[in-house]
Amino acid sequence: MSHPVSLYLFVGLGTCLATLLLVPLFRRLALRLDVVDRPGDERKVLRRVIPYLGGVPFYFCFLGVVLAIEFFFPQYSRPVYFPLCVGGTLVVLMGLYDDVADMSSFKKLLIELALGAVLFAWGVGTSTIAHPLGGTVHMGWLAIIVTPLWIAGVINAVNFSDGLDGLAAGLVFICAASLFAIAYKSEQVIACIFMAYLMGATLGFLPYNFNPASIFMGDAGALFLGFVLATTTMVEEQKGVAAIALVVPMIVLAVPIVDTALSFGRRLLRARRGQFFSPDRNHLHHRLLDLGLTQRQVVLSLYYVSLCMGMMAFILSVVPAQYGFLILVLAGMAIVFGVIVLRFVEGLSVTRAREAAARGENGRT
Amino acid sequence: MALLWLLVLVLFGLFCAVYWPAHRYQRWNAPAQFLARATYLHEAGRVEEAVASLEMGIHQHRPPYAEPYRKLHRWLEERGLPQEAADIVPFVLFYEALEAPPPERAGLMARAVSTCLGLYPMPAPDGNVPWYAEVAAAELARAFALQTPEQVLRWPEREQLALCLLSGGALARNGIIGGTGLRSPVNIIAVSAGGAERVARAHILLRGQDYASGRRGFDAALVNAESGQVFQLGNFDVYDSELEAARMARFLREAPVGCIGVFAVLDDASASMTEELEAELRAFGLAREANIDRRSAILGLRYSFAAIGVKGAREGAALQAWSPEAFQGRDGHPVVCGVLRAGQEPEETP
Repeated sequence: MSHPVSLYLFVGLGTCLATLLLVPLFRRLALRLDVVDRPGDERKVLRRVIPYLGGVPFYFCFLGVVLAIEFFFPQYSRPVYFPLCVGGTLVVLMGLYDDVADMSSFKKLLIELALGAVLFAWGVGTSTIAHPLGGTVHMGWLAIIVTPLWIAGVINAVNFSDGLDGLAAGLVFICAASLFAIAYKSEQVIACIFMAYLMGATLGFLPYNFNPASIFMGDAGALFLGFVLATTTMVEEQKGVAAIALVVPMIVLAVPIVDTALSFGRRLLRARRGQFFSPDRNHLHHRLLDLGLTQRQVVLSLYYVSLCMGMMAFILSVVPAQYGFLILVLAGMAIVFGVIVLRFVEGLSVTRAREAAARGENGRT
Repeated sequence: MALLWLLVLVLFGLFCAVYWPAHRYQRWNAPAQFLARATYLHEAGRVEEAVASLEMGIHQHRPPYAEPYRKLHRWLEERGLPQEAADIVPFVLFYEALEAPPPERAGLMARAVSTCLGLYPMPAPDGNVPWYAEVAAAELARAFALQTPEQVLRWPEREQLALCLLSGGALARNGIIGGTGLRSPVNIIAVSAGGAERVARAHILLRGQDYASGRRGFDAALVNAESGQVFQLGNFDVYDSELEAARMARFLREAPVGCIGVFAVLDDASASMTEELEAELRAFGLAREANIDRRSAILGLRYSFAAIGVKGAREGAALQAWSPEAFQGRDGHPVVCGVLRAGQEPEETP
């Protein structure tokens, strides 16, 4: 089966160009409507006022891509696109509300889970996932639980990673590129089309969002990117169902997913104090910043880790099943090693800070 | 805030206004919508076109539910073609039986089988055919949750064979392999349960043995067209990698012209299908009958697929039975493909 490369280029370049053109317009609109992020909260690393709404063009481009497929490439049209557009619209509306009026995490999570369940009933989802060691796993009735959890999980993973200039957009670009390579290799045209869209959207946005950012994608953008990433890995009707659904994206998205999982663990610990849904400043990027790295260094390091995970997922998809286990063990060891190193370096820097403080006190006496 | 929401909602409204007419048009023209299209044509009084559209759709999609067959039967009667309409009846009954709740299923299936036997008489079982029929019918009974396999094994062989014919419908009862013109020297039955969740099995039954490997992918047996001896066997995990597809293509390319190829799929044999392998399968007379995303293919993901062909036969001449894993929300079913040597001397028993 041959790939419609011209369609991928059309979607990728078209989305990139449209995003490049639309983002400045939305920047102006955000400033005029005063939909901006202001410094103040200790979790935030920004030092000046920066407009939101940079992510709304993603949504407009998505609708444009779906329309273009319907008119010019109908053979790649699927009934599930319309549910995706409806779901995407709800996600963007929720994100805009959050950008303007701040919505509680609990409400957001409930809406995301409900949306996932409705989409599953509407035909978006998979009852089969690829086993990383070869073969497939049938989830049966569990699919109705796994699908909303997956959608809400990826949405939150992307949203949580949107804490530094260019981080979320870059991570989504790397994930989309890795998934594009995997989908291309396994001839999954639909997944390729949407990964090309995600690559185009994030690439067109990064010039405005990379440090120092002139606009943020806001929750509207981050939630929407997460939504598209979560759902489009499940829409393939033929080979995609068995090949890339859930497990491969999970490996590619390891950085934001691990960060989200750790955040969830911390929230559980705080739950006794009734602070489960209150945010903290312990995300991976916050901790790297606390170690003294600059924003750019943190973002580039996380890009690098994500790129490695993406390459690993790609290798996993091409090697015979018997080597898959080895690769997964290596990936697991790398993650554990990374966490240990991070904790060690954090401990070292705390000790140094204490020593410096003690020296200062001694000097004063 | 309200302005932003309004902007998004207006844009979405505009999108719907443009998208829906185009989407409806495209859906209407999608090959998988053959039933809706045929129904529309029928309601418009274009019965001949409706029948053609329905026959094409059934051929390309093998819908595993009764409605298309029922409509075809009715419309053929309307067109004044009672014989053609009667030929469809066993398949209507078969799919109605599959749609029925389990307690009623066995009774309806028995009716489908007896109707089938009335229309398509089965040859007198000879050689190992009774055993082949038992193996195939037991698989089908298990897949259809029909009865316990033991009960089905008590069915007469002819009824078991009729059940095999209903499931896939590629059972040559005169010993001739499809349109190849070659008379098989031995009885052959190939069973594939594809990727059906309840059963994922394959069998290649000939000369009193099951030559299937029990492993995922394509099982292929090459049979000497004169002696009936299996001279080469292979299992190719065409789900796993294109390397396997290349290995199978080489295996088929090296097969001598005129030999019989028997194929059965376990789980899946399409994910890594290549043009090269498709070409080699077509050299055995297999055809790209399935329509997947407006594209012709020999088989799709997790299809049940069994075929018997002859190297060098024209495309489409082979016996080929297949069923999709699912079509429009309905699960597919196992298929049986076979050639029974009617009126020939019994083959040796093991």
